Amino acid sequence: MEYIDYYKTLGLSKTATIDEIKKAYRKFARKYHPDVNPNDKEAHKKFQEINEANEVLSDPEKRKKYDKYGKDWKHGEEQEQAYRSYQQPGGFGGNQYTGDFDDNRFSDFFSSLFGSATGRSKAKYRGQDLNASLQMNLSDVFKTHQKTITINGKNIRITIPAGIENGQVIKLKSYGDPGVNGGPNGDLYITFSIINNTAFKKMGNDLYLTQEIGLYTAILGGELTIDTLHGKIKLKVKPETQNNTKIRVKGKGAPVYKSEGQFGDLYVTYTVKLPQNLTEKQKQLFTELSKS
Amino acid sequence: MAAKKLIPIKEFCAHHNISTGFILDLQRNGMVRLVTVKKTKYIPENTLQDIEKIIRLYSELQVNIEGIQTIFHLLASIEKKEAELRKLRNQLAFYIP
Repeated sequence: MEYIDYYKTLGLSKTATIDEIKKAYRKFARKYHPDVNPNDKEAHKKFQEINEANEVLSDPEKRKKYDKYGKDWKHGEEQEQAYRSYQQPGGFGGNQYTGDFDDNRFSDFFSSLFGSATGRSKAKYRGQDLNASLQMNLSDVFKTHQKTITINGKNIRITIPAGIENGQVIKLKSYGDPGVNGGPNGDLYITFSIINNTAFKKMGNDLYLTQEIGLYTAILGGELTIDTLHGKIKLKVKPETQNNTKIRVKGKGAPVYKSEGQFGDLYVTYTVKLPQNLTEKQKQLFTELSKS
Repeated sequence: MAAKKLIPIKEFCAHHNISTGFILDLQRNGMVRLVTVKKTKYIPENTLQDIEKIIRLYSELQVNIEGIQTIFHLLASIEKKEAELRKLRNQLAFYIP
C-alpha cells in the first residue's frame, strides 16, 4: 500500500482553493467519466482515483486530516485516531458521481486513513460491467444457436446469431455485477474469438478455398465434389482450365450476421497438380505431345 | 409480438428527481423517443439506459443538451470505427495468418 498524493491526482498544489479543487475535479470527471469512456478500464480506474481525491480534498475536515497524517498513515495510533474521528456520519462534500463503480471504489490507503466509504452508503451506484470472452469454431458460427455460459456462478442462456465475427462484442444488458444500494446492474460484454477449424479462409462473408485438380481434369475438363460448410457440392471444371483459375459459387459462403438466409459467396481457386512418377509409356506420350 | 414495457415520464422524473420539462426537451431535440398513450407520455423501457446516461452527463458533469448530443455522436462514431477496425484486422488475418 502506497501513499497517494491526492493533489497530484487532481493536478493541484497543496495551496489549492476549494474552487480550484472543484474545477479540477470537474475537468477530470468529464475526461474520465465511464459514460464517455465505455469499455475503457484505464479510464474507469482513473475516474475512481479522481473521485477518491475529490472525496478527501473537497471536504475541509478530511483534507486537514489528510494533510496532517497522510504521509504518516503507517503510524498506527494517529491513524486510528483519525479513523475513529471519521466514523461520524456526514461531512462529505463535492458531487456524487454514479458511473461504474465496484464496492472497492476506495483505495486501501483511503480506507486505512479514513475507514471505509462511510457517510455515502445511501448513494446508489451502478454495478460494474463484466467482460467475458467466448471461443468458438468457424464451423459453429454457421447457425444461430443457443449456449449456456456461467458467469460468477450464474448460468446465462445466450443466443449467438449466425455469422458472428472474430472480435465482435455482444452486450447483455444488466448481466453485470449487481448495483450497490439499489442501483442498476452493470452489463455483460462478451467478446467472441473465432478459431478457423476449416480449410476455408474467410474475408467478410465470403469464403475462399484452394482446390487441387489433376492435369487431365484441367486439360480435358470434368467434375469434382467438394465439401463446403453447406454440405457437399459438385463443381464443373471447364476443359483447358488454367492453373490458379478462380471460380465463384454464389451463396455458399458464410452467413450474413443477423440476416437470416443470406450468405456470402464461396471462391474456389484451382491449382493444377502435375503428375509424378511417370511410367515409361507416359513419358513417351508426353514426348509425342511436345512434338505435336 | 412481445409487449413493450412503458414507464410514465412523471414516475421516471420523480424517481430521478428531474423535471418532466427536461425529458420533453430531450424529445424536442430528437434525443429520446416517447410514446403517447391516451395523452400520457411514456418512456419505452429499451431506451432507459440511454436516458439515464443523458441524465448522468447532464447532472453530474454539467454538460448541456447540445454537448450530450455531440458526445453521443462521437461515441457512435467511435463504435463504428471500432467495428471497422475489427473487420480490417480480420481481413488482414486473411493475408497474414
